[in-house]
Amino acid sequence: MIPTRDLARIPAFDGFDDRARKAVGAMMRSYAAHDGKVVVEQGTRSGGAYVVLSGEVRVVRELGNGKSVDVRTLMPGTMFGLLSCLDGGARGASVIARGQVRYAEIPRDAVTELLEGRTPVALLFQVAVCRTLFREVRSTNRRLAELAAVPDTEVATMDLEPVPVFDELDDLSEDLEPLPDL
Amino acid sequence: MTTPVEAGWSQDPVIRRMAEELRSTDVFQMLDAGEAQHVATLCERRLLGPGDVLFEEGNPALHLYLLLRGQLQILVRSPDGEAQVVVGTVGPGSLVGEMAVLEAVPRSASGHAAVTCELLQMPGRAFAELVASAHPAAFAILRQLQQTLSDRLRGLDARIDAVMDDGTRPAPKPMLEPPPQAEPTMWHLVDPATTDGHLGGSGDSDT
Repeated sequence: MIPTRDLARIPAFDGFDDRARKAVGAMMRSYAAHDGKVVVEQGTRSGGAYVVLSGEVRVVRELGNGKSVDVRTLMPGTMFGLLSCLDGGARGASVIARGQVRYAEIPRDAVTELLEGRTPVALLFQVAVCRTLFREVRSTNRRLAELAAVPDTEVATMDLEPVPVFDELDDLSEDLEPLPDL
Repeated sequence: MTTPVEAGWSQDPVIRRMAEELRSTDVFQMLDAGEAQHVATLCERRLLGPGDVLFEEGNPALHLYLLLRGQLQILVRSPDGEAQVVVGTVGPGSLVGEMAVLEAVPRSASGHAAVTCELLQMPGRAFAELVASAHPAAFAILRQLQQTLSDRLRGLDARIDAVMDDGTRPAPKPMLEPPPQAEPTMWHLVDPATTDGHLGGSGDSDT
């Protein structure tokens, strides 16, 4: 469970009232990950949706030719992993911890319940999903434009600027619940 | 002799017709008569001739649209600003601009009528009210939005693969945010606070 006060600081959940935060927070579980830990693995269909609570994660897409490309960097407060929950398809990219990271998972069955629900809480969640996907489209678009302009040999070593999906967000690592072992 | 009005249907023929048109689309087919009529009262009909501008890139987005008939061209300005390039088309049944009340950014492309078009337009503020009241139409619009955004993101993954896999670097075609299912749709974001709440008249306050 994620405390409502922590969810109140997550931009993706702007517009949620305390009741909605409590309902969604009750569905979430918090985890810790060390540098390099694969939170989401490309090609798999397991897991739910996630929120970065503190630290950064890299979204990395492995290509058919064996290369991999950093698609974007996600900052605290960003939701990820929604696409596979929405369409049931495989994960389109891996999400890898950069440094120490804390994140929360909304299990897939809970995500499905919220996406298919017709309650005010479900509606707020669906708005949050749309906002997140929209920002993801925009940031991926920018990344695509960058990739198209960079010589092939430089792509793998490009130092990415974190995509400012959300404005600065305080570190949420304090006051988190005890973490399950990973 | 009068024709009995179906239970739940308005006797206002204009509202009734709009509601029937709404329910004839995939997006709103699940609305019942009363729900569709409520949405209809928030909309106004727009007719465009070939070449007419529905909205212009860079302008504030004040409405979302449901295209009933015709075809819209979506255009973006070239980097040097000298030309407009068609990046997609939108066909009947498509929603355009659903993100309007969720984000506040200017139009990312222009929408021009390729042929004679008939649309229903809804002010961003009215959409926001549908969301605030958890109206079934809000769920319908959000579901459509999720679908098109998901499709777009999958498409972007494929584009990244295409750009990176073959070693070439073709300039990526601008992508709209968000797009359509089958064809690119125009998406725009409107700040409800800036909408005029205008429900009548024929002027296009987006352009």
